[in-house]
Amino acid sequence: MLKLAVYGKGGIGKSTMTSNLSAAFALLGKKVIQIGCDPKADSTMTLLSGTPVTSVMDYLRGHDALPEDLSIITKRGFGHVLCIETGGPTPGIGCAGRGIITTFQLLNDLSLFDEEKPDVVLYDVLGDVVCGGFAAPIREGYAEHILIVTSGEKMALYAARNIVSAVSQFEDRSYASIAGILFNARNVPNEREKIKAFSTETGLPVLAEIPRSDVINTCEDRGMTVLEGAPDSAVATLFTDLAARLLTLPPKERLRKGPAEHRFQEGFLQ
Amino acid sequence: MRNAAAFLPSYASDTSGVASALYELGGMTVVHDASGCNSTYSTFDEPRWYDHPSFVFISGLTEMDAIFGQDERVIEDIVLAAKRLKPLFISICTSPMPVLLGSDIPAIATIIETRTGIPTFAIRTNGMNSYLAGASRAWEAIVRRFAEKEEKHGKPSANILGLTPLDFGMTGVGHSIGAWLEHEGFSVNATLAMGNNDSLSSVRALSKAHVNLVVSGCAMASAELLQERFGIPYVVGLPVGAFSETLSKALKRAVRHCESSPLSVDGLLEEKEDGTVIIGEGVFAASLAKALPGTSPASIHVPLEPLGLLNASDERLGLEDETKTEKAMAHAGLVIADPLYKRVAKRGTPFLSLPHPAFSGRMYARHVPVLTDKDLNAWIREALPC
Ligand SMILES: Nc1ncnc2c1ncn2[C@@H]1O[C@H](COP(=O)(O)OP(=O)(O)OP(=O)(O)O)[C@@H](O)[C@H]1O
Ligand SMILES: [Mg+2]
Repeated sequence: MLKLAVYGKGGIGKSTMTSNLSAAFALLGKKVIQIGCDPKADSTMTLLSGTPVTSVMDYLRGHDALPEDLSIITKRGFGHVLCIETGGPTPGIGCAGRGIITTFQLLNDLSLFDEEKPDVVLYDVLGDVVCGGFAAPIREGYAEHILIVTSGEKMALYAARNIVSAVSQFEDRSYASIAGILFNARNVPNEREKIKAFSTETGLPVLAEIPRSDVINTCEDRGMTVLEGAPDSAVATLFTDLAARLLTLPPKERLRKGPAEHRFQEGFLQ
Repeated sequence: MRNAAAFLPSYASDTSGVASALYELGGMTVVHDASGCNSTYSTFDEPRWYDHPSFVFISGLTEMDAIFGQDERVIEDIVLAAKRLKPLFISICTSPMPVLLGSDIPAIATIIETRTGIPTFAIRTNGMNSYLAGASRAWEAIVRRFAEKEEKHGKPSANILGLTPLDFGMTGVGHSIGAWLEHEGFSVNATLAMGNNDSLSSVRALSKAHVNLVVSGCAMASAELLQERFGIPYVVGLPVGAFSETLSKALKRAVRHCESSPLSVDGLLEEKEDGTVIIGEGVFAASLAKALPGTSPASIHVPLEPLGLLNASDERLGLEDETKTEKAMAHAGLVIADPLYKRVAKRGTPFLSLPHPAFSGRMYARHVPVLTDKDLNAWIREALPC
């Protein structure tokens, strides 16, 4: 199973990259789950042509009890991708990070992975890892590889750098490691050079360069990924290409050897 | 009101269950919790504290630890203590606070194991479940980590799984059950985990046994794991009164056919006018109900996780709140329960006190009987006020 988490600065294109990748994996014949880990609950919109899934937090807000089965908090999107949104509290109150942890626990309790047996799981996460909850998707047992989305803009690179240093602090925890950079172009001056410098500085490969593309915007307006709305476009090919290469990522080397059950107890997040 | 209690205490929590289950196994148990709570886990809920040393600690979680996520402080403290005390393993469990904070305890355990070389594992607790859940997960973790495949030989042997003072007090019940097993033709291989100088070596050798006798719900998860790993069948029940015979047969059948049997509650849930009502831990209550003399068995209520019982999802079994508890005892001809339940029983209801340390703590600890040794008829006659 390929398990990816997508991080990056706010508004940089994480959900766009994630959804297009999900669609690309699906068209490659893979069984895909996409989990949006953002209180805005807008990660899977372009997979669901405008009819969103009930977010887990919205469900919990309205009901006193946990949902009995997965169907209430999941929805099939384009390419049969199973879409889930954690959602979150009303901005300004509550604890969004805790919401992510609760959602993950719930998904465990409902045996999401055993039931669905996906080939690929994608977590679309907030750019700013502000508390433990936002690192939950990269804990052992969840994502194994991190993709960092960035443009050549100063603040996007700043956020990317923060993510790299946060992840390096988790090294001894056996968390996910960074597979590389998704360069989502904003057409700022010397953009490619800046990304190259960042890549050299961090030792992270640039896995793909996605150009600023009107196709992405027009498809988004129609509630679609480019793989659905413009399958023959050049940018769709870029996502298909990237997806195919990601499928060859080797499983992450874990710190401690031996049977996984010694290290990770299923359903530990509570 | 759901879960409301004005007169009844709550059962010992899952964190106490972890500390109790692992107390004699030579490890170190750390409850990630605020300072001051250790007396709950290791004195109020732990009678062995006074004469049997063990390494039970709390982490002393502070507000700043919470804000800054200072896991490193906890890690360093545990590493330091472990280097000094050299425990055979380290287990870490959590109070409600780290649970709400979402602290990654398995990751902390990984770091500690890497730094100390001592087997370290996280045990999932939240301070909200009962001791059964904690003890159950603790033993499951221990078995998962340390039980090894061993050859069986000689006459049929059995493990006794599920002994803690939280269920049985300090009564020597292990010896009594052991003697009964010997009498029934089984040698005792090992016990989890009280009173028999149990150490990690007996955990390692658990798989030598032909069958597991599960005497409390605390041991269900470990029994299931031993079955899955080593094909050892289990039988659930406590050898009391007339039920001992049934249990002995079940043990022999289990060895012969390699078949496990949880304890059925069929016939134990119907309320009978003037009948006997037993309230307590599931394995204990069901065993006693089946053991009592007389034609119609008692009915039982289990105000805890009904581990080890078959068809336990029946809603008549549980007691979520005091109102339901009161109702459960309203038409009883005799109630057998911890003496604290008397507080919500109707005045004049015949009541047979059976102290349960996980419920009433040390209050009646001296009066915990060893029912496995007793002639139940005589015991009831003696214990009931005329
Ligand atoms: N390569 C691109 N070409 C054109 N438009 C793009 C491109 N990448 C992203 N966008 C647009 O930028 C906007 C923000 O993208 P998206 O929602 O994917 O960002 P995000 O990182 O998920 O944001 P947030 O942090 O708010 O979740 C969208 O309207 C999207 O269509
Ligand atoms: Mg987004």
